[in-house]
Amino acid sequence: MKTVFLIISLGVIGLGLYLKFFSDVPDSQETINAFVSWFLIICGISSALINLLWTRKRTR
Amino acid sequence: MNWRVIVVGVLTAVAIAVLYLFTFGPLGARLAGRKANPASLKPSPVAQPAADTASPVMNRYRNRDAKENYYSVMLPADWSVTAGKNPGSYSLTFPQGLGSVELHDVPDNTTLELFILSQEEPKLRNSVPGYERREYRKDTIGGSPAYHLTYLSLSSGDTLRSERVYITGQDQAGLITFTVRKALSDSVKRRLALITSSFAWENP
Repeated sequence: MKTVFLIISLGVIGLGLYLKFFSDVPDSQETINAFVSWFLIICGISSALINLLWTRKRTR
Repeated sequence: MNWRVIVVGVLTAVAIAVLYLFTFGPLGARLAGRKANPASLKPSPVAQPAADTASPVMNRYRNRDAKENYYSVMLPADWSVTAGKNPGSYSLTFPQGLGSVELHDVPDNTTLELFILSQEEPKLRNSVPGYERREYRKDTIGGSPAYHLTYLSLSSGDTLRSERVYITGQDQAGLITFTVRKALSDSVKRRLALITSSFAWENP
């Protein structure tokens, strides 16, 4: 499950990078494109970090 | 919950808030730096042959607002020329009508001609009252392929004639527009043709 979550997070980062650097949008839509791409990159990085840092307490 | 996860969550929320303020809020407005270059509005007179008194006196404007999109254009000295709404553009006012010279964004995944026929003209057809295409032709201006779209429209009972000339550029396209009354004198037609043919890209 943890691996699937990590792969999804990396996919979100990849989508953000694609929108930022490889997607061509009209000048009028550049602002919203920049916002969405940076939003995806930030969310992707933070979810990947949370995934890596998450530790479950052992209960016995 | 792990304290490090909480820190990452808080930092993410802060980053998104800052991103929002930069994109849509007051922080971004201060940094939005695309402004018109004052040099673009300084005309230089064009030398006119002494024998030629019929031609209008023209000024040459060298636009230096947008990198990769430097251009020059000649405009009649007796017309009102002001900076347009966007960098790289001029707004023209003359007794018979209005006009503009500007830069126009064209997506990379299309050609200028396809863009005009598949996006620009349908947009005009839907937004301009009484749109009726009169002419569409291709030629070359300053060594670059250019496309002329002429159409009629209705405005408060009057028929107006508009011409849009798209000039292919290496980044954006040049766009010259005129909207005038349908019946035009030869001298105005001559001026419009002079302006259109004088457009030239000046990228280093």
